[in-house]
Amino acid sequence: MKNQEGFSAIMLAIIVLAMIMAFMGSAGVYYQNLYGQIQRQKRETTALLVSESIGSMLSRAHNNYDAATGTCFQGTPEATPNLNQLCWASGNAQCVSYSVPGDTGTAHRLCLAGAGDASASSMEVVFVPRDEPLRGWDSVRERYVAWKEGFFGVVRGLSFDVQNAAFAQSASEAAHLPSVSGAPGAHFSSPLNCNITSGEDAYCKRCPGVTGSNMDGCVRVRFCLRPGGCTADEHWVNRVFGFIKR
Amino acid sequence: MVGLGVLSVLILLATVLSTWATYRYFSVRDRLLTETIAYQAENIFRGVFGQAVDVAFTGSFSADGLPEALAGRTGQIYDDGVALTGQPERRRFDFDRISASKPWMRVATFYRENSTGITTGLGVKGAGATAKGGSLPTMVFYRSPTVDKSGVIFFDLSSLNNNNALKTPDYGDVFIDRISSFEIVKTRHVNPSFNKTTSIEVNLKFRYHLFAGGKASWCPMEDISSGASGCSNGSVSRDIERHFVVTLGNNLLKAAGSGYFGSVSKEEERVMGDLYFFRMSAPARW
Repeated sequence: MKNQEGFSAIMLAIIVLAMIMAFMGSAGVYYQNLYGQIQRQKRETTALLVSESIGSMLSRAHNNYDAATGTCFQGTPEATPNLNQLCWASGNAQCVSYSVPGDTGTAHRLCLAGAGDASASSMEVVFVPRDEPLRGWDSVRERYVAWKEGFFGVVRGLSFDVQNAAFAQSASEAAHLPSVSGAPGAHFSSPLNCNITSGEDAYCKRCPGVTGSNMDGCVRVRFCLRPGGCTADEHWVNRVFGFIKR
Repeated sequence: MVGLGVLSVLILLATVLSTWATYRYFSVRDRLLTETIAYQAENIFRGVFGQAVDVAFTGSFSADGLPEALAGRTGQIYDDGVALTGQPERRRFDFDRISASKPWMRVATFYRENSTGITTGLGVKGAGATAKGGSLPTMVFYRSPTVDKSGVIFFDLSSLNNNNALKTPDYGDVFIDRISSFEIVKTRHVNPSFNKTTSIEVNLKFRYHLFAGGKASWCPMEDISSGASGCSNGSVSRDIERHFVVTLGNNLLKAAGSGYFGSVSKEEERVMGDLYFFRMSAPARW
């Protein structure tokens, strides 16, 4: 009798422990996915800030260029073909520093590496990491997460679009969202007619190379903030900067 | 008898552990989800307001924020009509209590540059920086929180630039929820004649709950501490604060052909001088 009771107690303990372990395991995977979502948002924030810094840097380099004479007011022109409108005061002027949100480590640097593609006919440049590896992101864990997502794609039931997070869960968890009934409207009474051949210069900017171009020049920049590097075109951050006619 | 005792202790232990684990699971999940939305909010503000092409500093407002119809194409961002003390170049609104705003507010309306400046698809090398412009109307609305509903910011991002239709917020738009407090402080260009906004400082508070009993509350902390009606129900919650500054780098100070203060310069001028930002294209999956 005692043996039977003891056996039942042990079996129950094993079952309870197994349930707790299973619960913790699934919670851990779910948390890891949420952690990945936070990291992706941080990367996008960093990309926006880095690209703004690059834009300011390119603007300074372009302001050193005299369009009338085709020479530099100061500094030297970029040797890369098609970038001769950018005049650099020093090598350091070709780098931007940035830090990762929430990372207390030292700042990282991205520096101009020249033409993005040998066959590019436009002003396209690439910025690459200098001095510092992408610490914090470029960790084994980050590489594993990036590899796993790349390999398995979206893990069904665990990954979700944050924008729809409230709806991806049960209806009761979207209960905090207010109704949109009674919402007001807004509109411009003078809509814009912005197309490739019309005027509207202040609102419709077009880079050189297309009909109705109204910019002095444009530079397309690419850089990589992805853990493990950028092995496919869609891994890169791209941004085009224009220089307004002077 | 001993076995029965052990069994009872185990059941008790399992119950306590399960309750604790469930409480922790939902609390941590709610915090992580809220943190994600907080970071996402910064990206949306930077990606939308950072692309604004023409935003005034002062304007005409109503109790619901901006007027329903905006004349011309110069956009506006709502403020409470009063400059900050000793800082005439700064104005703000601060929705830190339920009663601080109407239930619905028109917060901002402006055109934004939506083109990436890339003609042949995301990330294609050697495509050439040839592009056509793509200024699109943008409407931002705020739904203030109530005792049991969170505050929500809606970004109605139109896809047509020549459409005069009335835009209203809905959940098909980009939206940011879980908000308990929302403040924007905007800064004017140093030259008051321009009357243009150069940057906005955004302060947001996002609410998550600890699921320690009690009913979930979305009352702003100001209302909870002042004991506003319905806001002292004993819910256990925390607020995550996000504070960031967005430069309106594309904002038009003056169009080409117009000068100021006798200057011979008739060139177009923007907040970042001659620099123009097309929209950034980020990887679909990082």
